Amino acid sequence: MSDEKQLLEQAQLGDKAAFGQLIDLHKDKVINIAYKLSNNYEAAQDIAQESFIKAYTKLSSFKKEASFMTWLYRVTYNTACNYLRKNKIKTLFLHENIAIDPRETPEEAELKDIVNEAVELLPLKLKAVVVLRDYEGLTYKEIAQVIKRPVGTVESRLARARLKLKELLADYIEG
Amino acid sequence: MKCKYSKLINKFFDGELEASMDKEVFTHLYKCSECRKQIELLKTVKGLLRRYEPLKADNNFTFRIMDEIENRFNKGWDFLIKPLAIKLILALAMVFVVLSFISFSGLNKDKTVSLEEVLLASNYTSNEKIVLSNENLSEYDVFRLTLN
Repeated sequence: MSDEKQLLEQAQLGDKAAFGQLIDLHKDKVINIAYKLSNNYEAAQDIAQESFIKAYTKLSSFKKEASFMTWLYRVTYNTACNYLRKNKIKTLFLHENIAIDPRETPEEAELKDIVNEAVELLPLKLKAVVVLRDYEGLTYKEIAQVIKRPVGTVESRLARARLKLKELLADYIEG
Repeated sequence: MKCKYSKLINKFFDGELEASMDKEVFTHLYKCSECRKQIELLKTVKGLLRRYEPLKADNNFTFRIMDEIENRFNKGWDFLIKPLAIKLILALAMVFVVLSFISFSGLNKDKTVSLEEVLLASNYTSNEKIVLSNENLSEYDVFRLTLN
């Protein structure tokens, strides 16, 4: 963490190499969030790239009130929202660019698709809290910082999202 | 009847309750099958979501971004200067518009006419103008003269 702090300070002073190292540290997280929000591999690449470029231009405005990771999640979330609003992308459930786990059975692969589809059916604001909480493990307070809403809103959105997911996955859960 | 603790189950599941309340809900779970079922459902849904295989950024990802940054902001401080320049141009344009408005609205007001302006506007020859301007006439006198 202290390495990250040092890199951040150097990057804020205009050290591009330090910013490159920050990208290396966080690129997988950012790409995964972008992917989970868009459910589209190409869109995730674009969103992740644009998020890092935005982060670079706004680096001086980062005030360390939140962690750098939370701030970067926020930039990614905003970029994804804008991207998805502008580009009415079609979500793809077949991902030829994603490595397939050879140990995965056809049933497991199908189940993964079912879960993906269920998450995809959630409105973006509900999907975002599920992604940040259940995939990324952020606290309610951190999620509130990312989506810039009160903690109470995070709680209610998460409750609604989970209720919806339970309904959508009812067949599997009860089976 | 719905259990009074059911509203707290999400927060309990996420470890977001205060310690004392967390323990209270935990104790409650022993005697409430409805809340236990809720917890089990949350665990199942989360388990399904976590089956997702995380993506890895490709090896050139960082290079591509740094390259793009270099292309977009190759003049070092361009990314800061450009927005500032745009703001400055907008501010100057605003000042110009405001000044134009003020000077335009001032045209309709009474204006003091200088001797030079009257002479220039009159039909006097340049020699007459020189004579007139050398005489100790008031602006009013000159103006009256030009009307004759």
